[in-house]
Amino acid sequence: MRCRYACRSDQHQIARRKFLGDMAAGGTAVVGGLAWLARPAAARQLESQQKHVIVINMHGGLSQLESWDPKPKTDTGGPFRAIPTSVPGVHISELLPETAKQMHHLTLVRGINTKENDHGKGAYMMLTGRRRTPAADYPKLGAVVAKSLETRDQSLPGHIVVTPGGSGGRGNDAAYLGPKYSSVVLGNGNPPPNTTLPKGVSSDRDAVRHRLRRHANERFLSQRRTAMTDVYTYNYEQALQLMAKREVFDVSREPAKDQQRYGKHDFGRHCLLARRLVEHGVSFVQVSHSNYDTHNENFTFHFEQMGEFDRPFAQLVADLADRGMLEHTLIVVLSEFGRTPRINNRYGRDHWSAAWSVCLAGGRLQRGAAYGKTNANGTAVADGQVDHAMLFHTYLEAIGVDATGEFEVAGRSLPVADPSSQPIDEILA
Amino acid sequence: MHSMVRGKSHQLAGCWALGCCLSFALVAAGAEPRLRDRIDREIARWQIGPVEATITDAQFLRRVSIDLLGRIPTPEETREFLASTDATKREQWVDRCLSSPEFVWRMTELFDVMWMERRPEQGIKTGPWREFLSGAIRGNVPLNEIARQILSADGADDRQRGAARFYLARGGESHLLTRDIGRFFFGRDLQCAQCHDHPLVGDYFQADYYGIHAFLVRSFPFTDAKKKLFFAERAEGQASFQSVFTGERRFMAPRLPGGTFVFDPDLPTDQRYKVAPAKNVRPIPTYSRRAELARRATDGTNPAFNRNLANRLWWIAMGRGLADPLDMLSLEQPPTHSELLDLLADELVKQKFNLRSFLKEIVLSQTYSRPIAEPADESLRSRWVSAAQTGIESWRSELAKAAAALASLQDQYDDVADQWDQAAAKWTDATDAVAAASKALANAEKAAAKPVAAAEAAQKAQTETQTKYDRLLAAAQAASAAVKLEPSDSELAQAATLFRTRADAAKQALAQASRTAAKLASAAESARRAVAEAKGKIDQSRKAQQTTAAQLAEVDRRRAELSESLWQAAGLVAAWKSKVSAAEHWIDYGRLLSEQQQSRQRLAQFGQQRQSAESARAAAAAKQSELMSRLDELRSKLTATERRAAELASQRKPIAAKLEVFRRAADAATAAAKLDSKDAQLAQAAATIAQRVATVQSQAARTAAETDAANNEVTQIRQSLAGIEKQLTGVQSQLKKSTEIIARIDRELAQLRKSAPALQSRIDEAAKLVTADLEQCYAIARLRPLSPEQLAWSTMTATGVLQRQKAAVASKLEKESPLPADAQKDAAKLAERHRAIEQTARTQLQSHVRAFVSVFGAGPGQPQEEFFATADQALFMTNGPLVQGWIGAAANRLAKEWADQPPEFQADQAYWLVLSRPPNDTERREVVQMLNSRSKDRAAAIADLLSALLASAEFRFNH
Repeated sequence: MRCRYACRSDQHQIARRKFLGDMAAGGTAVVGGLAWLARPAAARQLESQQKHVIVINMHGGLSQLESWDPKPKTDTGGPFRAIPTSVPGVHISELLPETAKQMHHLTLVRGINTKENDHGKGAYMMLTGRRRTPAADYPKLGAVVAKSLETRDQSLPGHIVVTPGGSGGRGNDAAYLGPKYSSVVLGNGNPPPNTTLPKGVSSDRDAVRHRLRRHANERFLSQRRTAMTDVYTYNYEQALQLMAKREVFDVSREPAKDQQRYGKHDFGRHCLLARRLVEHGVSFVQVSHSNYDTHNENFTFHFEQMGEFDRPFAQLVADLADRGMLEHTLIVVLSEFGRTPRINNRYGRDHWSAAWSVCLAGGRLQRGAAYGKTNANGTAVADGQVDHAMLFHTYLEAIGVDATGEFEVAGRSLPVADPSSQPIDEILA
Repeated sequence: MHSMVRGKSHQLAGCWALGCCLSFALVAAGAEPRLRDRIDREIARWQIGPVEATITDAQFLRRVSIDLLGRIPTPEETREFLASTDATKREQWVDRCLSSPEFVWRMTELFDVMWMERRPEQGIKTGPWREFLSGAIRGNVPLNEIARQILSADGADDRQRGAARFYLARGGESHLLTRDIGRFFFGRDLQCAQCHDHPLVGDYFQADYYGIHAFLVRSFPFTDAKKKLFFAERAEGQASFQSVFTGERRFMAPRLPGGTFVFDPDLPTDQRYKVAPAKNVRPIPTYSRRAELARRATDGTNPAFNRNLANRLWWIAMGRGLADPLDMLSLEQPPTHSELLDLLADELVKQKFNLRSFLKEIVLSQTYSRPIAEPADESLRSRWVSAAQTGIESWRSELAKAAAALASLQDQYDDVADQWDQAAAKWTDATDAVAAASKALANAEKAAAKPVAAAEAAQKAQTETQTKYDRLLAAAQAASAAVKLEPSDSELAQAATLFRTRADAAKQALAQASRTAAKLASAAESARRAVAEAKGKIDQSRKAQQTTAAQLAEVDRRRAELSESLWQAAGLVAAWKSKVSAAEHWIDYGRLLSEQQQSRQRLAQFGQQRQSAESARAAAAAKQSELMSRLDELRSKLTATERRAAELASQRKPIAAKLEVFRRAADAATAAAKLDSKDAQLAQAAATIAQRVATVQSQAARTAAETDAANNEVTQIRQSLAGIEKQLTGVQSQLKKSTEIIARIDRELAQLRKSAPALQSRIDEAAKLVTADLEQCYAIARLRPLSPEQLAWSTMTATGVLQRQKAAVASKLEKESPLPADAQKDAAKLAERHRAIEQTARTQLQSHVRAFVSVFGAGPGQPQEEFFATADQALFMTNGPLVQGWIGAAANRLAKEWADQPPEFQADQAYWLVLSRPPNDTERREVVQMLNSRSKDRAAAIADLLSALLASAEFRFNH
């Protein structure tokens, strides 16, 4: 049919013909879970060097002024000083002395303006790279990473979210990419549910169960095998591998010295778990630190929270750098927004999305860079303004995923990231 | 065109399909063929070769029970069904399913998930919504009526309040609703057409999106003073859109996909509401756009609605839509069997949208009963190959014809679409003009207000001044008359003068006021004229709007008609295309098979050749060794003979010398004896010597003869040797040749053997394609994963959880409110009791279903039809406490129950429980062996067996 809008370009025509042609050919649809069986060679390059992402979600809205973009001795600066870091000329809050020593590994983005002061919407934007619309839901970064970095013989989940409390299970964060890429939630860092044998079932009995199951499948599937039955039978083997690797989720197996270094509190343990998971090949791990929503007593609160955050975070960065893993691991410290420069009458700071910061590290990012600027007292972006969509593109580019690519899902092509945006090229090496 | 092609295709299809001939026979006899037969006939038309296989009774029972009851059959049901010899037992079972409360439960679950996609509790809870659905399904309310109630729901009718969940759980958000109404009721996901015409789907227009949106744009969630939530509607609000590509803006009147515009009735402003909007008052418009949407969509006249519903019902039974995915029905993704879909849609309307009777026809078709794989019989494949070879050319030309027809329709459609766009632009301009005219009128009215008021005030002032003057003049005249009677009264005169003076002043004021009033009156008059003019203009622009609307409606009608033709044409192209492409696959497959056949033959040929070369070589080798040994023999003989000849030759010289000596002696003796002839003794001696010479002479002669003989022999032997050597050369070259032939054959064989796996894998690939084609054309059935709910209920059936729950509920009910004796015979009361038991038991087990859904279901608001398998699902089945608890309890119970039974019996029962069939011999042997080795922990062994079978693909899929 004729292209009914202004461009009337041939490309649209061709794309549509091809679509029609493909559909008419029919019958050979690839089931979501089997993407790797039909994976083009281009994507395989990724597998040669497995990439990883660690997101540290600072719940509630971290104050940029008490962390990455301090404004001491101004009307908005608050009581804390700025300290020099391992990168000359870059200063961060004195609440982060250990982190300051790792600045040469880090990349700061200080000119963020997301124009959204609602917790839920802000978090959604930062984790999906899109604004929430009523009629469409978008996959979170973890699902996008898990799908993009999926490898052939992956036995561990690709998308893990460590929560401070609660029980484990499956998150609802993969939208159209499908539940295969939904997060596996590790409640308080515990291993995924049902990864131990039921009470009374010995490993001998388990072997009997699986032998009988495999034989039953061989017989049944000799009549007819399909992509679905392949995925189904494979997924039992995957479950067995997951059980065999259960101790990957057990942070207490890390050396006592490391446990000491990271700290025994939840955040320290979760950071160490993130390191452990990434070292065992998990593509995406998200941990969180709560709760920065400091409408009251912003300063005492940040003093305590940053104190807890500083050491394990700095250890994580230093360890990954030492082990040569930072080159292919992206770390993102994000929040749903920042906090107001204005200090309210309860010594608090309120929601603020007009000029705030995130801290990144690793992958293709330039080390020791600070990109973007806010004005003298932090009330507006002065230079290098970026938003959630650009950050999302940047995350993906930093680990070698083509953010301008498309996912093919059930006969639909869906852009990997917001097609109207682009990465922050200035900080990509 | 539609019917033309249909007629033609009959000839093609007729030769293949038994069902087809049968249907023709029925038609000939004048009976309307049953829908199930018409389905089979339509399906057969597009198959390439013959299809005969159907599933066994046990397979049918499992398949249809999962589809209609949402669970596998119990062993008791299976046994009863298999034992029956009634020819109509399949139909009887289907009828039993359809009238069962379990069918109501299953369909409630299905339509809930289909329409709500497991959205969280919001607005209206799931409970009342499911009650609404189950009530409607139980009462066999037509599906279009259920849809109508959903689409017109406002939450006000408490008896149908649940129906409002569709709107209110989506927060009443008009864009989300537009998308989901498009998807679920018209089979079109128009989301991409929200901001521009769909870039990939040629018949998804922004106008289609906003056509639906316009029905909803006036609706909003409303909470009354008692905190009750409604989906309310206003009488105002317009939809309009702007393309992000072209920047063009269009107003949009309500319009159904594939339908035409539904313009609002022209109601006077004061008659637009039944209940006018006010604080805390839910407005009720006189004309509800949403009610109109509900009515027009569902009254059986909208082809998109009917097709979507037919397609979804087909999906329920077949595990895929005729158009798939279910929400992408479009020209560019037409159904695989578009005429069948149209037939189904028509029949659905004819059957008054009756869910039960419609599903019944589908599941009783032959098409429903195809096995998941072809029968092992290889000849079927070769029949398809030759059918494809025979048919392909004519199918290609059918495709070309259909494609040409489609192309010409597309051109027409593009023209109409352009006209449509122009008409829509004109209507948009006219609508803009109405708005501008209304604004101008308001402005004129506003502008007129002041001068009109001023003129009225001046008029009033003039009237007042006139009255004053009149009174003063009257007083002055009366006073003058009085003065005339009393001229000396100076005071009186003074007073009269005063009146006169005042009257004169009033006269002047009156003149002034009259002038002012006249001036203002004319200003007011012109303002009034301006208002009247503006009113005229608005009438004019309204008329123009109506005219452009009528024009747009006319183009829209033509567009809808063309769109229908286009749909049919595109469907035909798609059908021919897939038939041709399938035929190509079959031909490819056949070619590869014959290639394999040839290569096998060549293998055999080479084998033979090699064998004969081998034996030739062996013969030559034998000959060679024979010749060689003869050669050896002769050579040694030659040597001996030569040696003898040499020896003889060497003897001749001494003999000759001896002869010479003897001769000389004899000559001398003879000469000596001649001298004395009388000396007899001497003569005697000489004779003796001469005699000796003779002896030596004969010796010499003998030796000479012997030598010659030996030399002759040598020559002879040499000749023989030469002959044999020649023979040997021949044999050796023969040998070499044979060896070479064998090497060549070996090379060829190696080549053939090397290419065999590659060929095999090409054949496997081709077989995959033809298998997909077989599935595509319904010659074999799709393997369908159970939905999370089906899996949950089937697991509970296999482990006896569901049956035990029902039994417990039944006995509790029997205890609490026993059915009186007369009720025991009352079918209605028994059915009601049955329903109550089912309802209560299922409700009590609902939390278990939720546990399955949380692991096997897709996320809320996401499509739920996509299959996925994750490790946590496997872990849930094999390690999770819920399923393992059921298995453990069942195994303990069964171990006790079967304690006296042999392991063979136990193996059989376990298979009946989980897989609704007995094990075959291999399976039985394996299980019996396992059970025998574990006589001490038999319950655990049974549990392991149940675990394994519940985790098998055979259980996980419907087949």
